[in-house]
Amino acid sequence: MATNKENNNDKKSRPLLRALLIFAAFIGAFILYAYAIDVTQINFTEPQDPKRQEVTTRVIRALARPDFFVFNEEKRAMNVMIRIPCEGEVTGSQFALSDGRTVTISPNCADTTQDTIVITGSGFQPNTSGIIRWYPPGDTSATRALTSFRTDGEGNLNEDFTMPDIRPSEEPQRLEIEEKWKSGGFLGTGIIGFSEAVKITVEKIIETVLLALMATTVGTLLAIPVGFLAARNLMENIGLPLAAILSGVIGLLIGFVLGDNITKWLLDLASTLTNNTLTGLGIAVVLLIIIGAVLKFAPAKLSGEERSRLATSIEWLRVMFIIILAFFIIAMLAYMGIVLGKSLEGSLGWAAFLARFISFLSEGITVLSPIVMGLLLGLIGASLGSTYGQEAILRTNVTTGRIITGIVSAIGGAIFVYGIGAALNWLYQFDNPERWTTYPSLVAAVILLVVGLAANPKRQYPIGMVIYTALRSLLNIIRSIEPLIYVIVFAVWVGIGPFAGVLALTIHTIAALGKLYSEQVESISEGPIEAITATGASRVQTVVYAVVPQVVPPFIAFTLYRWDINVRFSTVIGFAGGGGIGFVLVQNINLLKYRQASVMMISIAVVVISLDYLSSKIRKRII
Amino acid sequence: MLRVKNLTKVYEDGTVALRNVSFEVPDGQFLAVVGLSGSGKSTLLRCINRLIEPTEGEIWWNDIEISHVEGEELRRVRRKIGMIFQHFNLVDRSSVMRNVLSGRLGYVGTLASVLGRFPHDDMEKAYASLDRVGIRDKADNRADELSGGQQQRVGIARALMQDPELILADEPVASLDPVLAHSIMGHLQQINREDGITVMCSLHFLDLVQQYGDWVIALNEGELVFEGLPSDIDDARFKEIYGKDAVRIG
Ligand SMILES: Nc1ncnc2c1ncn2[C@@H]1O[C@H](COP(=O)(O)OP(=O)(O)OP(=O)(O)O)[C@@H](O)[C@H]1O
Ligand SMILES: [Mg+2]
Repeated sequence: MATNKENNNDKKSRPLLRALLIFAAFIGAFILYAYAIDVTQINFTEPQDPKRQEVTTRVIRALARPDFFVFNEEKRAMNVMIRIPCEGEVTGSQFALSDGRTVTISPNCADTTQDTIVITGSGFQPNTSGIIRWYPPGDTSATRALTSFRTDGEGNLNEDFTMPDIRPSEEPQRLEIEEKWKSGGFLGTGIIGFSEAVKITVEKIIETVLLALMATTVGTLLAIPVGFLAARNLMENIGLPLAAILSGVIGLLIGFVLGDNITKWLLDLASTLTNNTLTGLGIAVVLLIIIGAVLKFAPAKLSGEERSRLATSIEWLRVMFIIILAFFIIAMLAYMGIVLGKSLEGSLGWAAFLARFISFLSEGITVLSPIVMGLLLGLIGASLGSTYGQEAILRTNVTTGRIITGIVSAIGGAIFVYGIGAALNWLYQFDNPERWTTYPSLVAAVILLVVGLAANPKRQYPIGMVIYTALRSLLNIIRSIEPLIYVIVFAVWVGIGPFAGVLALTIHTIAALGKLYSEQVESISEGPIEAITATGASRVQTVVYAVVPQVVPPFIAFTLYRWDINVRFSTVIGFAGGGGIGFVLVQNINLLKYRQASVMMISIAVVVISLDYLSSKIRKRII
Repeated sequence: MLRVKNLTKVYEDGTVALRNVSFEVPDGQFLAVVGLSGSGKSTLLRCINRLIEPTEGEIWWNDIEISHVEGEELRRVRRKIGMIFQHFNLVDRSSVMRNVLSGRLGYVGTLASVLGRFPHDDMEKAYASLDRVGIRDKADNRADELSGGQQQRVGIARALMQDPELILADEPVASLDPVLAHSIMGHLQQINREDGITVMCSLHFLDLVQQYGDWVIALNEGELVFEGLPSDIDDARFKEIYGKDAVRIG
């Protein structure tokens, strides 16, 4: 019974409550929109202002006549005379030329600016536009346009106008009737070439598309690892003991420092050895032969159940040796390439960009390789560090495990805190390295030493989820800022131009593609992962064998899609200083050259639409 | 010899999938695992190769307790235990050969396998395994171009690549028609008899159990309710395993 009553009450009160809620929602919406319209200054007055309408009309008309071509124009003039003021009887006069043009002007004089004067004529170019000018007395160079006209299909002309001004004179005054028409050129249309605007547009639209291409390429390469590391299904069950995590940090540091220094040292050596190009080439060839020999005479024994530790180590050493030699050869080639590129640049003519590319690649190798090698060895160091850390803990008893964990945690924690402190110190210029790096890292070391000794050394910490969460948050932050804003920052760093645009789009591409990729990885079927894991494969092997084959086609599709978006972005990135077509477009608009701007807008539309079509075609093929 | 002692699995959401299960599998046995859907068969098999972490209990495998091994040691344990799945779990877009070779990943170095460089012996072995299940000619096809029965044979070939001492088969024939089912079960039986590989196979149909199984264990709501010879499953036992309302067909 009681419940019944309550139900009834409910039913009664509900409609009222609902009505009240709806009413409140209406009031809320009303206030919201009232304020929104006020803030955004939406109004009816400005758009109706005749002056603004006139300007707008002019702009729209200019935009409708894009400045594509240069025309060959011919013109022909005929003079008629008029008297100002009138003398005696007011009549018309006739004028005729031997080529058949005849003109009647009536009346043949004017007293006031109100007098309508009619000019009729025949024998003109049919369907041709022209202009009637007045040569006022005195100043012979000054002319004033009276009216423009257009002849009919038979070459007849009928135009009336008034004089804009009365300047009396003794002599009759001259009116000039000038026709203008396009002739010759391409198929008689008068087109004799493309306009300057078209030439700039083509150049800049290529720049735009290539800008997008560069940003997409570099962004994709960097987004791929991010995509895997930010995929929940791959990361969520990675748990490691404390010692493994922090020995990973130690490995990262050692790897980075080693990679960076070894690379710099190799680069120095390569630079000295290539002072003389011939010696350099000779050494390169010798090294190549050595690599070949190592590959050939120490055949790979990569597998086998009873693979001994020694054999594995030798195999690793061999691989490292080959990599170092190969890098050394590349470094030597790079130094020679810089010289070669510089010397070729002058002699290649229009293909000088190829020589510049050789120089660019070579310089890129010498500038970027220390950091790339550092990061690479850092990653290898981190993975080796965490593997050995884990194995050490798994294979030893609890007491030893505690001691190992304590020591490793203290060192690793100190390094980690020191790094963060140094970064903060640089960013905020505390100028107090001791307070921000040394002391905190000592404190961290002590705390972690205690924690390491006290805690169960085998306890697993969800490091995978930590990396996943950190990476996802970072991606979301980066993605939420538009490339147009990044470009302002990068224009400060590398100057206004397409390079700043490439950097801005690259940053955004990494974040956007990283997220798409990781979602794709999350949506693959788990079965193969399960099966490959069950064979005893390592994590890396599982990713390569079970995940990668599943994600390659969607990754390609996303990349193409991203290229498409980057082309769109790159058309506007110039507005903020990022080069490309946007840069010249905004210049033309600022100079009120709307007919030129129109050409650029059309080119953007054409490029965007055709790339859209192309990429969707390719995407369909792949999936 | 596989010994499972007091194995319990409680999923994160509180589902008790295995309750204090204990049994032994002597080397070379063909063990059938039966039970209703949801009784915990898949959970049991996956606990043994640690695709699922057991909550409590011990798993002894060749005199090591493997329920808590980690890292390199876990990989060494796993590579000696092959697994065959109901839905085959092949990598669809990879070739049959690559799928089969992936059974060897536990033995090959990371770098070499990432570069796709398998030793010559492994390639030979892969062809031999495919030969054994009768689909050597399909080596270069994409895995998803094969029929269900052929895909399961690739699954078997992949497991054979591991040089396994134990094969876990989770309803290996549930997605296949009866004729194919017998052919696949025949392959498993042959591997069991000729190579002496222990097979632990969950099955739905009692006739398959009686034809292929040396020994049966039955699960009901995570509990071990029967252990014995296949021929011991009479009508009373049947109702114990499958519930009072179950009717025996076939
Ligand atoms: N990941 C999971 N999280 C929570 N509960 C799960 C999970 N996987 C399985 N379960 C539950 O555990 C119980 C046993 O499931 P399991 O898959 O082992 O049964 P099964 O005997 O293999 O069934 P089937 O014959 O349908 O394959 C079921 O109640 C199931 O709902
Ligand atoms: Mg199951």
